[in-house]
Amino acid sequence: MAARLHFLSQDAELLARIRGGDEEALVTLYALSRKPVVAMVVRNNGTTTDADDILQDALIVLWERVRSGRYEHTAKLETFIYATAQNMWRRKLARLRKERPTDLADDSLIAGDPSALDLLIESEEAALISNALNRLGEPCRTLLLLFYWEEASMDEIAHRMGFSNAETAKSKKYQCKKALQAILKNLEPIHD
Amino acid sequence: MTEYSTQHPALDPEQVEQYVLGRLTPTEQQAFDTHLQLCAQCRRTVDAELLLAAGVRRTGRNALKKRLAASVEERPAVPWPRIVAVAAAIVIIAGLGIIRLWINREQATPPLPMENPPSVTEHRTGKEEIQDKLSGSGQPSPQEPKGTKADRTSIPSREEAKKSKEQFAAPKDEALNVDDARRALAKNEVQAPAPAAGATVVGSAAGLWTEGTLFEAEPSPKTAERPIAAEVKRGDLETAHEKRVLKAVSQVQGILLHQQPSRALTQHQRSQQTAGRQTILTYAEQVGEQIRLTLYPDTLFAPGDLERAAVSQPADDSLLIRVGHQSIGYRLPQGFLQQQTRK
Repeated sequence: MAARLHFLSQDAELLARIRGGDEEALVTLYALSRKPVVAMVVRNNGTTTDADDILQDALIVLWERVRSGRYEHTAKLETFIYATAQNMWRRKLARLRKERPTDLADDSLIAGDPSALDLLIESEEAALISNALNRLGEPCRTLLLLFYWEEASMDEIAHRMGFSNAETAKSKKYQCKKALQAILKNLEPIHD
Repeated sequence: MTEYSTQHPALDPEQVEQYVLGRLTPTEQQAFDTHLQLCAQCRRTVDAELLLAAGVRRTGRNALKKRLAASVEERPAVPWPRIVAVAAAIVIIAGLGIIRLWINREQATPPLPMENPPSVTEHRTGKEEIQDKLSGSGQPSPQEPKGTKADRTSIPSREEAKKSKEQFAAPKDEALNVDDARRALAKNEVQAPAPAAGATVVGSAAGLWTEGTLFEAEPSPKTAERPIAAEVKRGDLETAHEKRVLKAVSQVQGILLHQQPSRALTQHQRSQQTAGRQTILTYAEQVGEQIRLTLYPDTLFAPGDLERAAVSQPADDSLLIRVGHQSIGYRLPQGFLQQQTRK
């Protein structure tokens, strides 16, 4: 019981840190989750490098969900991370056309199904847009990141970026999207 | 409920953004999905917005992933509190082990070379076996003279034990004539060997058991009663008498005296003591660059007396220790001190 309370308390603290934008919380979770994730990946035709890569991706999914308010704390954070990493590795194996290991269960009940957006992120088109975004100057790059990645509201964006109000931020966002489209039109497909 | 018609000129860009980011209510989203099924242009608009969002998120993820990878490389895989806890546990366990080994070394009773070595089960108590197991972890104890592992672990045969006794233990029929030594020392008749020029202890590290004969000390010149340390420090002694004593003391400088009550000896070891004479079983061993004599008297000497004890070497194979009002004479195997100290 005491151990259970300890984990709940630890999870609550880590979630609060993530909501507050503390990226060091991910480092803590990385240390806590690495061993089982490495074991899972290595057991299923992967390497420790693959495991580290997948674990970082899973931590970022957690970060996005918590920050956007879409995370539901139904299991221990470590369990969520493991399940997310497992699903990611399963999809990666499928992409590589390797045989799907029988013991690699689908933990979408815990980790949740990837959204259409999640699936598109790995696409070449997304890589092209990412490349264009990196060529976009400030404050457009930050503004679009705040809006699409951190899913901040226009009020929050206006506050964080020093715009007078949400309408000004909205207007700026429209200009930034136009500027990005202009870059995309002249951009050759380059992988980031 | 928001109604989406196929007759609209274009979708509201904000509605598209909200749809892509999953911010519509379930009802709004259902209506939007229905509309998309009927509007190819709208689907292209939504797909473009999805790609834009995906590309921006990819940028954000990559940046965070780089920062995370850098942070992970800087920090160990195991959290510091866990490392500290493990390190503390190791230090505590190692510390306890060292203390136990030290206690074991101080309290352990070295076995006597025996003509008829008993089997392990015959004379060994559980405590002795535990002590042996502890001492077997590396630090040699008086019970365990240095040597090869095979030497340490094998039980000596009768011949080996006899040879060991002949080599290390003073033969009883050649026991130190302490009376002669005492008289010679008192009358300054002992011609001490040349002083050691920087006595360096080398040679065999094996210890030996020997018996010291205890007798009441006669009054002797003051210098003979000087503490060893004081004698060694004094380099300006001028009289022949003092010089001779100094030489004798210098010869055996680096001798440490320890004592343990004789009850620490095993019954068998006590039975080895010469009957009918006042003797002190003593274990002599090399400790670092010094020779340590561990005395096992029936009654412990006063600590102050032991600290002020004077050690002299009346002959090459003899040691005389004055402790308080008593003296202990030892006959050591020929060459033992020479093995331990290089002149």
